[in-house]
Amino acid sequence: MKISTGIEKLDEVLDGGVKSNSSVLLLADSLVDKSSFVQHILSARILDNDKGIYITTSKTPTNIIKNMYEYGWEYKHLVFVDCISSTLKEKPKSKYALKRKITKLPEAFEETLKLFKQALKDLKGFKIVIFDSLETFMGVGAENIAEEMKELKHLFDDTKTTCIFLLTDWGYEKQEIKKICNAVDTVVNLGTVEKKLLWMNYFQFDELPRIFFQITQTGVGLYVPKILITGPFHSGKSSTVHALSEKAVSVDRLGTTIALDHGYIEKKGIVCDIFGTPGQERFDWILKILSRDTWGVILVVDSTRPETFKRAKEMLKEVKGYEIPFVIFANKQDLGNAIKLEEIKKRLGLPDVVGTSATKNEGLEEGLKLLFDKIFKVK
Amino acid sequence: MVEKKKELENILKALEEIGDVVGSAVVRRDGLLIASALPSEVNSKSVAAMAAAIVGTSETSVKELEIGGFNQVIVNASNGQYVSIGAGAEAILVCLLRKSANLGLVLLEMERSAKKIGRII
Amino acid sequence: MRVETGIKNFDDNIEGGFPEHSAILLKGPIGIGKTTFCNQFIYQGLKQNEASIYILFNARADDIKKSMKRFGWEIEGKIIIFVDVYSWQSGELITDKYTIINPADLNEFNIKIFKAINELQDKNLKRCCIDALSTLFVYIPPDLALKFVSSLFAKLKAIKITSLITIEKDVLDPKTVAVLESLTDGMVELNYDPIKMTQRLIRVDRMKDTKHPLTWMKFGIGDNGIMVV
Repeated sequence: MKISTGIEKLDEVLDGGVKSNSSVLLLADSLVDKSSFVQHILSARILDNDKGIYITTSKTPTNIIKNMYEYGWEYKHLVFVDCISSTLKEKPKSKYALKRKITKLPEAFEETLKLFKQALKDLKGFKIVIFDSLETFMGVGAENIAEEMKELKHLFDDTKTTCIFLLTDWGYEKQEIKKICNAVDTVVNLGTVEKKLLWMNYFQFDELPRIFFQITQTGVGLYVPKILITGPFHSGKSSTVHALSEKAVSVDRLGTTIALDHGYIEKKGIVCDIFGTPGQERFDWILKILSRDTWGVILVVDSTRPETFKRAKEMLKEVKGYEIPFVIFANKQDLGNAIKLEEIKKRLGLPDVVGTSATKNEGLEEGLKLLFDKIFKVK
Repeated sequence: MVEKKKELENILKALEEIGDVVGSAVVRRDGLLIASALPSEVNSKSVAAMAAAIVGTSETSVKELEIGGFNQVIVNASNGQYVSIGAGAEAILVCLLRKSANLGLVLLEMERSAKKIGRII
Repeated sequence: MRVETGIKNFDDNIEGGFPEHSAILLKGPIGIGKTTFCNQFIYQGLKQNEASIYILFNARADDIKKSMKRFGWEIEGKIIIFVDVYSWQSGELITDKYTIINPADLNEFNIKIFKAINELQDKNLKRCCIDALSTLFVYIPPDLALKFVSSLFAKLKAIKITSLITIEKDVLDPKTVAVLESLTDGMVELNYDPIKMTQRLIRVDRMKDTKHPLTWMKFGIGDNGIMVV
């Protein structure tokens, strides 16, 4: 049985989600906020009525709750195994805690495992466990840690829990990392990469392509730096930008866009900056400027004016639309004289046409999601 | 309509009397060329569209930055410069200048002309 | 190209200053003047309109600014980012983006240092000071702390920054100190004269690509900062 991570694309990449009663490793580089990433998953499980146990070796329970609260995540019934408060000279609130700072690492590791196992045995019905994180104990040796992780698997089977281990790779030997990876059922990589001065986080599984994400007010969302919206004059591009965005600005005069629209989208699971172009031919020189480094294109056409379809296809070519993922919004579907979707698909001779009405805010989110699916093609 | 165009062309000719002004144009704010006194080698229609986009974008950015009202935008290049200012609600005045132009004087004249243009359009 | 420390008579002894892009360890007991040495080093850079990053474990940014003012080193208007790993102890609500909420959280620490570096990268970022790195080892297991430090030094070197890192004497075990030494390009030691306990001494233990004396030199802290005799 697969359980959802609350991140749709991650579930897709993992072929439905995480296998229940299994162990997962989130292997991260030193610049990703792996804790927030896993807290999103934890929150999704709690919302699905699972109870959770959070073993923390560096962040205090107070700060974890604060972080989850600020991101709007759910943390009810969350039980902590607190291995850090005593080191920071704070009194731990949890029943499961290291009462004092243990200087010898093997001892600290042993005590932590004891608390972990005790919590699992005591708390029936707590199905999701987070171990944040393993690098604290790498000093006792990857071999030893891997052994203990393998042993814990039996316990997970007995108690029917799923465990997510976190590990930041601070430059360990390849063999050490391999040993830890072999001790779990699934390994997901979290990393950061710089693309043209933009720092982007990604998650990646197996040989599948990297999926870029950002953690915002709405949690973990797929991230695309730039989407372009173009199409013939008066097809509804600016209206679409404004309808899709949290905040949008248009440079328009006398009823037409003369430079660009810009909007920022942060909807459930999707984060991106969107740029709208003008439609009038005298501004075609702007298309090249705006279409640079765009990850996807939305071509908006007026469903009531098939005579503009030729111009639409030319514009798509101008912004190199055929070389990158694109979708077509057959806009103004709400109007009486709008041509039906099937007919439009035929006349354009292009796939991925979605019927929309920017003014009525219909079809827009589905269309955007379709574009994101094309950008982050997994299969 | 023809008289209006003649009037605009006269205003543009008068601007050229100022030695530093090499050419000028009146552009509708949505990028259409209304009257031109730009050098013949110049693609006036394109320049008109671009000037409108520059002014439009500059005005919008000034608004977003909340730094008051837009005054003018000056584009500086190695062999010359050009200034664009609003000329009423519907138009823009664009002047192409010599590199060494006395901006203070030019802007004063441009503002006077822009007011006149604003009344015509 | 040497990186001047600004410490009177000291730069002359090390061919004009620290080697460019090096990481230098400064070891000494509490109160001997390691922080003052750091402040002088940072000020020397700010004076030359170089941007700096100053990571503080044992004081607030305001304390450092006050201390520098007393020597006549005005840093108002200079480009410097203080990464504060001290204020967390007071328990007050932290809203500054370069204040570390929890010294045991290396992830947070790393991300904030990188943010500071990114902020200053095109502003002539040349110097970095960490005072005192040994404090980090109170909260993190030594093996992990050393891995973090190793990756941090590599990054600082890659972006061509000269770093001065202080460690409190006797806080760390000899093995850890040895590893730290191996990660740096030089070490300067400060100590009190065992015989005349009020006399402060400074010595260059080692420094790559530098001709330097191996003997202890006397130094004092005057109105204008540290002066080597």
